[in-house]
Amino acid sequence: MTATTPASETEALPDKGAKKRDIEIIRVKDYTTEVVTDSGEGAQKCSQIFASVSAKSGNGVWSVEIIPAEIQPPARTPASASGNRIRIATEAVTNWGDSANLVMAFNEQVLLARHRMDALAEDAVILIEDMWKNHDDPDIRKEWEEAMEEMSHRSYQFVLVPMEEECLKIVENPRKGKNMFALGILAWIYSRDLAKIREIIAELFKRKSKEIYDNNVALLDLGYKWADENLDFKIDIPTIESEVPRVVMNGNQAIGFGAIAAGMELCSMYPITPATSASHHLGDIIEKFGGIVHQAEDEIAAVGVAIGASFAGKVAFTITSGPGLALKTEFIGLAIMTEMPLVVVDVQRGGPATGLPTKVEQGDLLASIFGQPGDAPHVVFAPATMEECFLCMTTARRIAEAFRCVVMVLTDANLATGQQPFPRPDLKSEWMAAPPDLMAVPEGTLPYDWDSQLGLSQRVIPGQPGGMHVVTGLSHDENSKIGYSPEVHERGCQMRARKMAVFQQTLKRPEVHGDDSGDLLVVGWGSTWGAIEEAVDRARDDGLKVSSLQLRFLSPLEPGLKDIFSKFKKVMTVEISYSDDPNDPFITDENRRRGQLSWLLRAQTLVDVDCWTRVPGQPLRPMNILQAIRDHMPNGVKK
Amino acid sequence: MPSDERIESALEALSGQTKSFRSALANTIEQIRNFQASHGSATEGKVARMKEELGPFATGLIDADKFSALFADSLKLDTLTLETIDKALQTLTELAARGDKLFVVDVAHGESLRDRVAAALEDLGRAFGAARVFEMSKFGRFPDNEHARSLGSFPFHRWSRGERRMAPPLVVSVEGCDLRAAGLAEFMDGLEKLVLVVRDESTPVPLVRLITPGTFVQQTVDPADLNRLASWSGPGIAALVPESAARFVHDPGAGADAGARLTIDSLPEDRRRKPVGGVSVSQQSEELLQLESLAGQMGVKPAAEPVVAGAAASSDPVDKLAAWLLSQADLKNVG
Amino acid sequence: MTECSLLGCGQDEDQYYSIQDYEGGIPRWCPGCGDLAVLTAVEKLLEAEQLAPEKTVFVSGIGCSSRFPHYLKTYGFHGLHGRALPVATGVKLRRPDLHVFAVMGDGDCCSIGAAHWIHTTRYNTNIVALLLDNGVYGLTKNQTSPTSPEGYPSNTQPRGAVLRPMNPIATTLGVTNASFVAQTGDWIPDHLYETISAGFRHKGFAFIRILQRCPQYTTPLFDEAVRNPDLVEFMVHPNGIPMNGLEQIYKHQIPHDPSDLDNGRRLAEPDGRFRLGLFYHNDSIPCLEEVRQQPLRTAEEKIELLNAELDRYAV
Ligand SMILES: Cc1ncc(C[n+]2csc(CCOP(=O)(O)OP(=O)(O)O)c2C)c(N)n1
Ligand code: SF4
Ligand SMILES: [Mg+2]
Repeated sequence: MTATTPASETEALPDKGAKKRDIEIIRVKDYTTEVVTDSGEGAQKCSQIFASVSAKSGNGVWSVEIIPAEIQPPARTPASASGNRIRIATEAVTNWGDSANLVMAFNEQVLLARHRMDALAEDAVILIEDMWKNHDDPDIRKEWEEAMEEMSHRSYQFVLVPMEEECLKIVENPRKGKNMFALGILAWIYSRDLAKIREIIAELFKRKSKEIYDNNVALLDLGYKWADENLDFKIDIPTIESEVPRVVMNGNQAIGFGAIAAGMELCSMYPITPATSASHHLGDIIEKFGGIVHQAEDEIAAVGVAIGASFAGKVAFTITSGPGLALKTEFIGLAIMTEMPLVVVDVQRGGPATGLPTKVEQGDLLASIFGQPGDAPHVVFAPATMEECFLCMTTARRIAEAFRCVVMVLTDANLATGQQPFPRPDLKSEWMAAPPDLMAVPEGTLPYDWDSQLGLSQRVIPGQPGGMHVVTGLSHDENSKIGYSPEVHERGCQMRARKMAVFQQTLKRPEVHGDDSGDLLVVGWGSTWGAIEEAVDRARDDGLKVSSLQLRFLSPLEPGLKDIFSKFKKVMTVEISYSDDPNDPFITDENRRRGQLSWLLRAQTLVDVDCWTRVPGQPLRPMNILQAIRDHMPNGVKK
Repeated sequence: MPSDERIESALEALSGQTKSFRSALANTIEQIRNFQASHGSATEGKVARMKEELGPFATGLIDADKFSALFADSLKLDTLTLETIDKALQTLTELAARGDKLFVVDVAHGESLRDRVAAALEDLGRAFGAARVFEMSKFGRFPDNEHARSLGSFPFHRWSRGERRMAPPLVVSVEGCDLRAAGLAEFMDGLEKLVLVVRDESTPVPLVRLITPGTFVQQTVDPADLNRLASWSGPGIAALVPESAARFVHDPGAGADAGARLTIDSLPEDRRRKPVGGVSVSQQSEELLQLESLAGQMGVKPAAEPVVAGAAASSDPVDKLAAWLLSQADLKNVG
Repeated sequence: MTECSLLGCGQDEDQYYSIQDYEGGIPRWCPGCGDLAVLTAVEKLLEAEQLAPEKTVFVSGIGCSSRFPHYLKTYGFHGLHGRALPVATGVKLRRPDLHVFAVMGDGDCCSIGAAHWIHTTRYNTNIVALLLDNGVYGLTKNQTSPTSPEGYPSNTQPRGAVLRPMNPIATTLGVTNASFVAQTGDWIPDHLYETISAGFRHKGFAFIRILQRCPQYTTPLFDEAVRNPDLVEFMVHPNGIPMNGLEQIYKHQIPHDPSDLDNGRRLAEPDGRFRLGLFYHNDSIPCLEEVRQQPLRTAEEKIELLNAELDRYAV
């Protein structure tokens, strides 16, 4: 989807006692809004509601959180910038876009943070709290002036809003109310239905007092009224009636719902951003479904508990982020060795170590595939949208149980916190199929009665008479008897690897976006899907022979890649993981550290796969990918 | 029925057990459906099911035909077997659909308490019967008629050790005059728990003959006391009795010390007794004497002072009880 | 809650299990290893309680002691060094119908798995935990363990263990929700059996430290006590571990009511003799699996509930 030139028209509003104004209606198909505040001023809530009501109004929406790493960073500093980007369009939106067209900023310092990130469009409209401009404190006045000076080379259009002054009419502490005031202004600008917003507020505050709800609604109305009396433009993003019912949620909520839809009854976890909010969501509802969230003493115990439950025949998963994944490594190896069905969700963040705790990165790819010592074959796949986050849990469970294997699901902070509407899943009882029953098996049934051809074996669980056995992490034979002989170990390794090869044979050849052949093929995985395809579409509109391929299954890899790659003059990955720039000092073709997917593809296909990667702690922007595409077009073709 | 509230409270107190029975029922239904789905249908049906099981994420990514072909099972079941399994499933779903009503029995005036309880357990027992029928069918072995019998009824005496541990509790509403509890002893096994909600007057200690070392027995007026029954991990019976009856607890889990197990909270104040439902005054006195002798044998130290009307000024509760009983034992008035 | 499904519960009728029904592979411990005595006691318990082998799960870590499950014919999980308890918790949490035992060594439980030991005590999951404490890392050939006596020369500290040993009993007694804490010795089979049996009957996390002889490395540790009953002291009480005539041999006895936590803590401090018996017992602490139990749902019920949840996210 591409942005169109705004069409404007004006409309005279009826006289409301105030002076008669001409309201300019800016009609656009794609428009990006940001709300930025000091951390703790409620920008998330404001944006969440705004995104939600926009989706409810029928627009395509993608929202991404702007999160500071600390809970209470110093106020009025760029480090404090907290908020959301909400991209709204007529059609479905698949990524956060390029730059913001309209910004609601609670102070000039957080705005400056966004400016420095180059997050704002050249002609962005900026609604900003005016109290700092003429503040009693001369230091603050000075900061304001310096900030304005720094931004002055851009043609931003500022609108000063007396937020504090207005909010004081209703609440004593405007820090806790400005967000709803701002929401009222946005509601007016985008002509959102106030009644719908009130419903959402009621839902969000259902555990709070009536008074809190009333205050929030009063502030909302006040903001709406202020905008009505003072602003002279409105944004109109036409909607297309959706034929199917839709839901809107973020990727972590989708993972939580997906887990329930997949019949999972134990989520065993240890808190870690950005994975935790999935367990918050699950913890809130899972008990109704007969399941629980177990907060273990650490990530090691969390995965151990999930494995114990799986050993006992139940459907369990564990969810974590990079540092937690590192701790779970040994247990994941054990699950692979003992052929215990297990789903591990890794909501990636920046690494290594504590890295960028709240920010997006695709840095766990190789760790998740190769992190375990020894040969530890298992499945790794990555959903690309919120909808896929929801639906993939069922698939993960089914593969894990059918192949008695570990399935790792890689999402990232971009999917986890972003919201997107998608068709409401049509829930099926088959997804929730009960775990195995406890009926007797013939005496002497082997715990690993491997089919030599397929490596598959029947699962026997405690409670089944006749099936008693001891699983072990040591090298073992069909009967789970420990054996260190070369034959036993070779055969065990072979069987565990074999079934993954068999699984790979059930995968379909992936489809290329764009033409099946051309000058450049861009390969990505996970949440970069929307941004990559948008960039490729723009490049194709410009006449470049570019196509793209978004992989879901990363281990085993989807089939036919070598053949697909052979149809392009050049193949390159686009990833949010670190790679050396070939032009950096000391970097040679031999020592260059590459993007993680490109390592993988090179090893697996022997194709010279190049890469363009960035680790900004943010999702990639289509315009940057587009530039990278131009820069990487093979020599002698149109750039 | 005025005692509805007590029935609700009793159900609430036993909700741990009722929930786990219903939960096991639900799970069994799911497991059988699962089995049906993977063994009952033709190949195309199986592929369709596998596709559903893999979910829409897999569409476009996984070849469901290839995937499901890997799990072709060797077990081929004939139509008769599949029909039998289907009947078993119907029995279970029918029971599951009754919700908490499963656990409530209303004994109408003049009916036999024992027979009604037996019938209710027999009816509930069909769940076990159905599970067994399914198991036997799965292995292709069921003796003729076995399945038909088990699906129609499955009386308590046929329940296995495991089934008695799963036993569904019952809340039984019964008139005092129909409360002849001795016949219930046969159901006191495994984890079976009965709560009798007594309407109108009853004899003073109707449950006394059920006291055996491993059985929890309680008479109380307050449904809140039922939590002790609920937490006992063995068989038990409690009656929510009228004010005029004795209140006591025999809790086998209350400690190694025999005296701690029996607690008498209160004894009837009203001296004027009359026959209740064919239980003569002297039989009623026997009930009280039985409680006394048990208390004596066990060296009871009551938690609360028994409310003993007109008792001798002795401080030993057993003495008090004995004195009171003597005053009650009007052997001339044989009802 | 006992079972999760009605399937299978009609099967256990009239089964009698003999000791042989519980015997697994032939033990490969060194001759005279105390682990064997524990295995014998456990087999005796399984027979006495007539536990269905398919309903019984032994989870272990890694070490000599953790080979335990292989020598039984129940279900078993021989997992990772230090991690027996999380796995056991996972089993019990979702399958309260199973009898779950965890077998650990001192390195396993008190060093690498210490976090799980502390927290599982607090969860009070209904598990029997056997700590086979030989004061050394046996399997990896004689390294210092957290319970090695000060001065014990090992391969990692050849000039003697540099620290005082930790006290697993005192440590466990210090944890919130500790509900059953006992100590016994492998060389007193009767007491060993009675202690494990009491632990099994306890509803909650039964922590049993078994002083275990390792003739391969730590012979001096308990050797004298084996020969000389005067070096052992029993805590005695009607609610404690039955003595079954042992009082004839072991003259040193100290009365201790296992419901008295303070006194239990005091007695946990060493004063010359090996003190065996039940330090603390409290049956009234809720178990995690009880607290967290939720009724299971059919797929239809789940779909209905989930659709109701999704309604809140509908646009
Ligand atoms: C993560 C990990 N670290 C180290 C080891 C090596 N290791 C195996 S057993 C063991 C110690 C065994 O001592 P203990 O737990 O006391 O058991 P014992 O052999 O004495 O019965 C060690 C360090 C391992 N298997 N895994
Ligand atoms: S090394 Fe010690 S603990 Fe290990 S088997 Fe031998 S005697 Fe037993
Ligand atoms: Mg050791």
